[in-house]
Amino acid sequence: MCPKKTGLLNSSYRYPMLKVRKKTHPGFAYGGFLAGFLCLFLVLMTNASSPDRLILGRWEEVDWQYEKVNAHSNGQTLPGQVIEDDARQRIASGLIIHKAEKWQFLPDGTLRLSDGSAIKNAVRWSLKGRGHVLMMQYDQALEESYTIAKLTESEMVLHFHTDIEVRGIAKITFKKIR
Amino acid sequence: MLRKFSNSRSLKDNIRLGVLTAFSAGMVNVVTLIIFFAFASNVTGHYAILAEEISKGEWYQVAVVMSWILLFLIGSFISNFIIINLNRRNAYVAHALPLLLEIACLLTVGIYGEYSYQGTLTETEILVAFMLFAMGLQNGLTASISNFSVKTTHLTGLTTDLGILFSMFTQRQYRTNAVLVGKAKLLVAIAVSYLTGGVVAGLLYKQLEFKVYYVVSLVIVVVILYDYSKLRLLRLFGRRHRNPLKQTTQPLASPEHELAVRDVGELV
Repeated sequence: MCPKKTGLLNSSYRYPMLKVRKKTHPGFAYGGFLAGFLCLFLVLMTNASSPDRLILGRWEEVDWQYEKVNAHSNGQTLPGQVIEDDARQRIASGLIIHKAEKWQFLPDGTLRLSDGSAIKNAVRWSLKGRGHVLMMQYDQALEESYTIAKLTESEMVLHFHTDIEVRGIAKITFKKIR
Repeated sequence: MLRKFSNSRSLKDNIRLGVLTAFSAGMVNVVTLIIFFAFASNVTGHYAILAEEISKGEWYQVAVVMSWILLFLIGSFISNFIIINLNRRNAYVAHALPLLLEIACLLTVGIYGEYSYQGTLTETEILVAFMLFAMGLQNGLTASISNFSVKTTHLTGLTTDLGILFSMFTQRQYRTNAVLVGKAKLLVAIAVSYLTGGVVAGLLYKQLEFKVYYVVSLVIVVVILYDYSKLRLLRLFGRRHRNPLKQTTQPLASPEHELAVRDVGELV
């Protein structure tokens, strides 16, 4: 029998969505949300490589770039570009990574810096933040930090700020040595 | 500072609470940034970083930042959960408990950092997570008991509110409005205190390193003990029979919470 004719019109007939639903305790919703988050977290963590694993191994410098560079003598600032080796050495002269061309990250926290043939420096390395900052410590006194702009299985890009000849960010690109 | 709830709180109560908790939040944020290169309370920034990492497809970092944000949320959840469930039994305990949990987090990070920290990425991520949880607890507590007037780690909202208030003060009718002036005083006090806390932490870090977290714990202990000592004095001198409304100056907002209009004397 049609409800309209019998006068049995009610809210649940007109608005089926308003039918009384069995109430769920909010604890189940919260528990479900947390369980869902935990699953997502575990999936992401197990499938993605952690930066402290990706960074391990031998890396070779392939490129140095700068936002802006001082011209040699008159102090004029030029737009960013790849610069000559001697200028690169002058800029890096105050840094731990001075004259380093090959970097080897070891799992025990040691970083071996070499110029291709002999080891120049052995420093301590660690990652900070969410794995986006590379810290280097030399002789427990000198400390430097570099921002990891990119880190993949084969390529690493480091950024750092320096005011020696360079205005802004300097960018070092590495390729992994197999 | 901690005993009163929502609209029974005076401007003075909120300024006291805001100044001390913002000072500690500033300290925590700066020292965490110096040691771990991550913000402990800048959740807006973490959302931006999360979006950036998603767009770059850096899923490990996505998981880490997402869990930091969730822990801040859980901290705030637990804080308010404790308050709404224990407030009727003992307001002081309900309000002090989140701060005790915060102290536990701070001491955990301080002690671990001082004696066991090796500087690995996993350690860093877990210790930053502790700090975000602690800041969530603190922000949840201050916002909850002050009827959302005091948010000690939410400087974006605070600066927005200040901008709005300062623009309102260009008109005389708003300049003479005591509630708005009080609100501006509170916000300025929080901002200055947060900044001061950050500077102090930066200076102390050179000498104390991880021990700065003990100093922050001491600041929180002052917040807890201030009201405890006042409670004892009130009980000693029997002042609780006085008209409690005389102790408050003016409400900061209209009652929104069901527990907002409770009598101060009842809480004491």
